[in-house]
Amino acid sequence: MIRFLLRRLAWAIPTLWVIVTLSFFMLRLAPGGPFTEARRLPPQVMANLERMYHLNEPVWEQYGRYLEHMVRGDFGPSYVYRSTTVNQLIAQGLPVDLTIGGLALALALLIGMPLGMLAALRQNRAWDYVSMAGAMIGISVPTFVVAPLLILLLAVKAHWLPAGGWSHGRLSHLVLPVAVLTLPLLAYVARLMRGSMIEVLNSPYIRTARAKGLPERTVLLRHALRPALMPLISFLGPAAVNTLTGSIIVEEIFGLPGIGRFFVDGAMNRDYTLVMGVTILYAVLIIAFNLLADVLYGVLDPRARLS
Amino acid sequence: MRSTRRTAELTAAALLEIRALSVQFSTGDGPVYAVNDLDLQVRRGEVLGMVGESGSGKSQTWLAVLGLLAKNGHAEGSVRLDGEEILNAPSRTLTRLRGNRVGMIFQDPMTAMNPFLTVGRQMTEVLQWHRGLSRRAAEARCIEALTAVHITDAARRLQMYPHEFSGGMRQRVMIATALLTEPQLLICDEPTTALDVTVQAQILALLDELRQRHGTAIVLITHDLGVVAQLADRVVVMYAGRQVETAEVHTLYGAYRHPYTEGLLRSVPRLDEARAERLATIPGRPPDLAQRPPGCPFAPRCAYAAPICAQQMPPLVALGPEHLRACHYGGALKSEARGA
Repeated sequence: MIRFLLRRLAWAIPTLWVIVTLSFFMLRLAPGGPFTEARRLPPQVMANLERMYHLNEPVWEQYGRYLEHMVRGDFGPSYVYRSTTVNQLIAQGLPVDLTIGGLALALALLIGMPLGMLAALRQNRAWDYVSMAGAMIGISVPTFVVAPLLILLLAVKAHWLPAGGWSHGRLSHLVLPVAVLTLPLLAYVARLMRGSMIEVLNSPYIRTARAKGLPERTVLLRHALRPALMPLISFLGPAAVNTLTGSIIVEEIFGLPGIGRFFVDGAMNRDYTLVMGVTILYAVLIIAFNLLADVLYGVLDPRARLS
Repeated sequence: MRSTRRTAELTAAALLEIRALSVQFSTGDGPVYAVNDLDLQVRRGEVLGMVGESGSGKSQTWLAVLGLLAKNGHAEGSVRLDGEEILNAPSRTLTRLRGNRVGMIFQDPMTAMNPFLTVGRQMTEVLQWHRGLSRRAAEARCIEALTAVHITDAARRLQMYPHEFSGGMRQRVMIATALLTEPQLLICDEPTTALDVTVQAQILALLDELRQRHGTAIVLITHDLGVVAQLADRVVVMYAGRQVETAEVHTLYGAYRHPYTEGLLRSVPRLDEARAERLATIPGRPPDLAQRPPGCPFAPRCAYAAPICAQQMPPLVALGPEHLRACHYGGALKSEARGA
């Protein structure tokens, strides 16, 4: 297990390097730069700016400089958010997304898993149809429809909750964005859980467990639950990263200071360092969560432990 | 392997009595009739072979007996174990019965064991649940049970997972598990089909050894007539969910009286005969179980069929003390002169 972890961690370094290099040069290939705006700057100002941010140097020199700083954990100054570093931007924004995304993930799992299991046990009965129809709606209605609807009903009409803002993470401000993020995730988890549970319950080893006369709760909890969790783990790796790194739609609608907007803003503004920063953060999280998923696989499934 | 001495003991009252058992499955295309109006007995300590092709109802009969039918399945009729009605019994009754008084093992030992649990866990849970033993006491019994089915180094193997075992070893584990509670009846659903021939012989020898030692009655569900010939005392031949012929094993092989039995036996390849002609086959297709024809279900494929066969179901008639047959045809079968 430890050797497996070390090998996977060693592989993460070249993987990251490829991602960093590709994104760095692809960004430079995009036309324009951080200071080419609709309102053109005087040539002298432009030259000064480029000198200050080393943009006048050859690209490979900039690349070397970037790698050097990156290894030290310094992602450089943002070009657009003046006098702020990328590290500061992420450090300010990420906790917002981790809070909202973490809560949404936890809720989606806590509610979605039992919901899906119950639907599987009541397959083709009323409860199954109702919950799966609900899940289908949860998946197919986009957040930019659900969010304004909830704001209209619960904030504007009923005045139960604030329509937006962060307020240092006050609970009342968390409810709506968390709910909006949870809904599709929960629906997905429930459907996945239902599907895998039904498959497992039809497998020969469950029939064997029943033929041994075990009570149904033992059959479910000891024999069926663990195998049924496996597809969920593969899904959760990437899904957790997407949820934890924020959604630009949810952040925009609720006016939250997260980092989701940086993915889009940074790219639109050619804010090279900011795009690089969030890309690397995303890549590191993806690698980490996939590794975590693999470890969990090994913990749960003895057949995955060998290699 | 079969001892003739035992035949006399078999006359004791039936251990399990099936009466008018019918099994249906509701599907999107309407009902499927898997077992129709089956009457059958299993006597104490005997080995009863159930033969027939896929879809003949031989497995569904026993899944129905234990209440293990798929969710869309439904059984009617009566099944008595030691005089107690068990068909469609409440689940509390069934969970005390299954794996305790009646054990069942399945075709493919690769998929019949839970890959996520150790072999030990899958064995001890039976004793913990049915006998209330502690985990440790159960483990000691499991080691004995594994040793009894000729698995060496049993204590260490209890900690291992099914995928670390070979197919033959897994089937031994399944048998050992089923026998932990010393059941009166062991139902073996194609126990050797997924195994290669030498392992198959070992498993059959093991089953024979166990019934000799413990007097466990065994139901052997198979499409392999060779397996039945080796182990069974009596044989039930099933077709389209119906019993077409039942006899003691030597009667069945030597003096079968049903055209379907004849077809089955003649389509077994034999190594002791010259390859003069092509292997015999039964013409036509297996029956459509969504239909319940008024007459004999085998009639469309039967070489001896008369007009009455398609119109009227032949009753199950006793031809001898242990020989039953459901067929209208009264003449001699073509291959009988050959003396199979």
